[in-house]
Amino acid sequence: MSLRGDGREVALVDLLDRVLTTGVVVAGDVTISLADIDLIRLDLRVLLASVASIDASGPAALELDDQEPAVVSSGEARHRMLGAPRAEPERRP
Amino acid sequence: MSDELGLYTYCVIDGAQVPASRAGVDEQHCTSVLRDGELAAVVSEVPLSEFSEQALKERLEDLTFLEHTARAHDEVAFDAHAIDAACPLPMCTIFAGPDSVRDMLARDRERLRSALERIRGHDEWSVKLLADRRNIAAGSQQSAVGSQRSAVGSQPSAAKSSSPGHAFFERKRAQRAHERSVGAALIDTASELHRTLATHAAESRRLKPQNRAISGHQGEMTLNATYLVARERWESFAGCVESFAASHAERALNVALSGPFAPYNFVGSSPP
Repeated sequence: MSLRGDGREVALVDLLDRVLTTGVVVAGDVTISLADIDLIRLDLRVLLASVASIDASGPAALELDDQEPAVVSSGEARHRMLGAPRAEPERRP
Repeated sequence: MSDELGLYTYCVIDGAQVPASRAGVDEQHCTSVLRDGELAAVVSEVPLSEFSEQALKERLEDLTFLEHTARAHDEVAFDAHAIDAACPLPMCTIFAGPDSVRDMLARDRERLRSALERIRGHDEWSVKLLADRRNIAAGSQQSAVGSQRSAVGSQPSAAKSSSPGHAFFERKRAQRAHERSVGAALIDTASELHRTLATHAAESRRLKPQNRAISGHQGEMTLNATYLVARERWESFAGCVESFAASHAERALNVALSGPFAPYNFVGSSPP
């Protein structure tokens, strides 16, 4: 469980699932938006592919590969699993 | 090298709100609020030399810059959402100047207003389900899945006498059938959790499983879903996640809950 307000930050990957590809897309005189950027380099493409959303009703694709996890950032996932859930989460005010 | 500035736009809020100013994605510039009628945008200045299309293409591949920008963007939007409601814009939406931002607010007024009304009092929450297939396979030998294996496994006794090669392929076939049924059960479990959680949420969406290279997660991510949850229903939503976790702990299924987030996934992603 990774909740804001109890001293830990949200995992980067959870943020990227949100800030990169979602949010309200507005009309008008936008100088630049991420949607307009032709992101050609492979690394970011892989990254973007991982966060693109799928159809709301579709089944989650199972990942069948068994590769070793590679931590590539200081902001690695900070999931705490809910094996023994407890603790009232505190909210940021 | 140009000193020209653009306006990085984080989110749209109700024009009556006054979120506190804080450091923006470019730490030299703090956030401010631009109003147009009933709506306002939270913005901060950024040097266009560093936030041009070409510059961003290169800089966003640097995970340090990507993380800094993502967190700064999110914190501004989250703070604004916490005091009332904020429609977050996608990261790195940059306008030429104040007039462009006000034009946007005027042009999209109705759509933005209705989005604000829909998300007011709600937060976005992430729920992921991670399965350790090996533990599940090991733990289910005597269960329903296991019974299929033993039924298949009884056949090779006849085959054994005919050919060791045949027995080998029979075992492989049984193993594959077993793995398929474990996989199907995992998908069903994920869908069941999602359906249950969706009943406690105003809206919900399933996202693609996260990239293991970025998340560092172990096992298979069978569910990566996001929910728009009313604050007064948070208790029942979280309780539902917890009771699922408690009842599946022995099956090596882990549930990860994270949030709250500003409602990125629930403000509509396409222009009118």
